[in-house]
Amino acid sequence: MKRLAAVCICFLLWSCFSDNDECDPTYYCYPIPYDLGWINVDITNENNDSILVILYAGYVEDNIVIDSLYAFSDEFSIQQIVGERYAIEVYYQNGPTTIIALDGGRLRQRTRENCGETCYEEPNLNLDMRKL
Amino acid sequence: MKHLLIVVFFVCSVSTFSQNFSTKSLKKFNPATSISIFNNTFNTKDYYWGFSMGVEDLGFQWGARFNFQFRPFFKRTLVRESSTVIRQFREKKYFISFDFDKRFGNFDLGNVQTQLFVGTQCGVLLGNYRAARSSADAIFNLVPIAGLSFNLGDDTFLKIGFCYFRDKLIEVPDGKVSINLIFTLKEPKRESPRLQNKNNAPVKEDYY
Repeated sequence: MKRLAAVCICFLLWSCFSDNDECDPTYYCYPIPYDLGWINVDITNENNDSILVILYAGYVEDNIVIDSLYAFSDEFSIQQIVGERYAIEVYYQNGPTTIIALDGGRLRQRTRENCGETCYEEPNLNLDMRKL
Repeated sequence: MKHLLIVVFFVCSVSTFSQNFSTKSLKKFNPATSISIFNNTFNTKDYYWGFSMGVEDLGFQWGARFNFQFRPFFKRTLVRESSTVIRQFREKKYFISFDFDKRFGNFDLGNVQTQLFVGTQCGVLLGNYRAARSSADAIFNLVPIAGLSFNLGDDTFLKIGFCYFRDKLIEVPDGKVSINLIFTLKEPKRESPRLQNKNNAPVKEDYY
């Protein structure tokens, strides 16, 4: 039991002090933070109909509409400010029934260390809003 | 239903004729702490994982546990809002319950001591949605459950059953399979302390 505890403590110490800075000289490092990122949305639209999409800032209950548009394909992307939270509603019409799909999240800036330098990756928020 | 009754009657009759007198006479209240870290409830459309802790009476063969289960991912779910509007959310669910079950019967299934069990989970089903501040409606749930309990050794039970777990989701059937692996923590038998004199020599015991 003592030996197992010692192994666990050693592993924790190793993980705290280990050097995770990988160095790949061929990696293209973008050193400036992005201001804008992409919200990529997948929807169900086999017949290329016009489907109403509403983009909200924050949560849907905040009711701050940034944009409303009609999508004519089964995927689209919207460019927005990084670091903010967004919610999207997609309105599917199925005969007399309306299915309102809701999803969202924060558009995060991701980074990685490469050769001692902070590299910024293009922010993407991928939402699967296909109809069940 | 007729087939189910036949199976239940067959199993009960096997257990009735196979139990001997000495097994029955051993029954007494014998509680042990029970832990489950592998409590799964699922069907083809949904999955819950959870853990529970409580008491397993090894004498009268019943168990009672405090249980916490959750869906470990955001799932696309459909909730009916009105007759013409259906909401599709990304949803996580949590189920907090008090579980009770009773084992009975006794038969061998592939050299594994097996019993039937019936029970219930009484609790509240909670949930939250992605991109919304509002939470899912809390549902008070009384989940009936029945199935087979495989007794793996003296202190481990693998309970596989079928339950009726209501979640008010359109696309998820209420009937689900339950697989629960329960470990009992039996206390070691205590030996009576031996009397010793000042020289640490054992004292002769008197039997009158």
